[in-house]
Amino acid sequence: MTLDVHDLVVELDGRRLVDGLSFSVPDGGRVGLVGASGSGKSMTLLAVLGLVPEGAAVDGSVRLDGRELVGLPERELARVRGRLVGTVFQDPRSALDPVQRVGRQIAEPLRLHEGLGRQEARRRAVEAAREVGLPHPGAIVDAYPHQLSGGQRQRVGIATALVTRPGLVLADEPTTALDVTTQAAVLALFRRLVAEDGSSLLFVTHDLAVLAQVATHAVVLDAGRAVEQAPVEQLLRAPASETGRRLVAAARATTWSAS
Amino acid sequence: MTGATGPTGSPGPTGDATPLLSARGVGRTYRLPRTSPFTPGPVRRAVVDADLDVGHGESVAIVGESGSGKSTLVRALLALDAPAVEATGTVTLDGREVRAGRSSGLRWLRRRTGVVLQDPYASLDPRMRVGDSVAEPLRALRLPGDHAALVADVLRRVGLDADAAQRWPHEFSGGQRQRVALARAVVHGPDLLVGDEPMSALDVAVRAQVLELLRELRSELGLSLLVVSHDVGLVSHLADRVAVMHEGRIVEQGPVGQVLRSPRHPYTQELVAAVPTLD
Repeated sequence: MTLDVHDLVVELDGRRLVDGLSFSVPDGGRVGLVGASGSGKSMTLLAVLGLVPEGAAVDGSVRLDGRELVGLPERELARVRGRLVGTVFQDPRSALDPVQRVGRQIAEPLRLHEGLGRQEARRRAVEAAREVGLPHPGAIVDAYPHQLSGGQRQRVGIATALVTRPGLVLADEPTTALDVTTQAAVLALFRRLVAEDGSSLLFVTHDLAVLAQVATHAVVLDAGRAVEQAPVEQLLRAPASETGRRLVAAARATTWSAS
Repeated sequence: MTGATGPTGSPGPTGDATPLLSARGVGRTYRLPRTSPFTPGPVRRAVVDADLDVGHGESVAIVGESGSGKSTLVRALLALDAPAVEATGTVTLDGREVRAGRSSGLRWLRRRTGVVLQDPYASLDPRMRVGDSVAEPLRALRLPGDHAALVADVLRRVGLDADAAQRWPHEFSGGQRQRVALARAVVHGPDLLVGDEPMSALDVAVRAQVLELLRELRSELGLSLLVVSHDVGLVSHLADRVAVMHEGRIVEQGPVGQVLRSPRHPYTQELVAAVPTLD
């Protein structure tokens, strides 16, 4: 599935949070949006989803396989979000409903958008739980989120996002809240599932080392604009923009390097 | 696995000199909340038999994942820990034993240590001007001198404008707030600065700046550093020595380059292999 963002503008309280942003994710492509906090990367993701906060004005174009999403009525947007786009957020704790069993949450997109019955939805939830490497999938679907570890909760988040086999996966710092070894496992899982499904991926992160694990192309944001777009490997080796240079230098100063 | 520091064979951090901070056989066992009204909750050994030294002027990191016991250990070293079912071991600072107890009996320890916590948003009182927050240790420790001048000096040292003292915490960005927190941690001239995940709430660019600031403070003020972190990348740039904690035990410790490049313990190997790199 292709995503084409063109001249996107998001304004909130008189401030331009996204300021004429254009970029594309080709079919099966893996693109990372990188930038410091406040650079507009999360707001861009929300705009793609049509989930900007109350009072925000969105202008420009967001096309999914050529279909314009900006200005689409909420009902249709909700259908696109549920069926075509899977989203994983940063904090698995706040993204999950604390009083709903894990299995129901994983299966919700299926019941909502594919009209599956309870039995079949549960079967698919167990299957999805197994796929993302949750232990005892047949039993864990009956657990509540608080009974799971942070890493397990994020696996539930990923299972929920991918259960409908969406053509486009959006992720906003999905491993920031996780331990290093859990992060490595979750990133590996991401890579595998996206590759297996042939989904396109748009991944938001401030961590270039994480970016290098999942994305092939980077869009560097500063003040809501794309100041550089390049293959990840090229960005790390020879950043062309001032923002890119600063990000790479900061990453090198804080990242482990065995060499 | 007893005497977990021994097997690594690492020599004392400062040769024969007495370390600034020394911990031997530190253990803490806590009772977890009860799961049934009829039985007491299960106990959990949060820290088991930890030996750790921090030499004068040295920078030591305790690295481990959530639940590894690293925060409990560092709190125990500073007598900031919660009452435990069982507390073992001895901790000395410059040869004087750290004993948990009334705060008046710990003033000497507070005088010589400064602490920075993870969250710059939570660690500053929103109703206090920054200058008053930074001056708090001076008042609490009843230190003599011109507090306003000391505050102005330390704010300058951490790279903030002199007028920062008159402003409120909400006027500052996350990185600036962490600078304020650092200022407060060193305003009374401690020997040892202790940080518990001091940068995990900051984004990468700000993290690099705070890291640089920590280096400067260390060399200008002759501070020793003890930092708890899950971030191996940060630790590799900040610490001279590292202790790796896993399930309450220090499973390995030594010079940071040695431990990270040639990890001996299987857990350290797993941890280092999981760290994302730019290479």
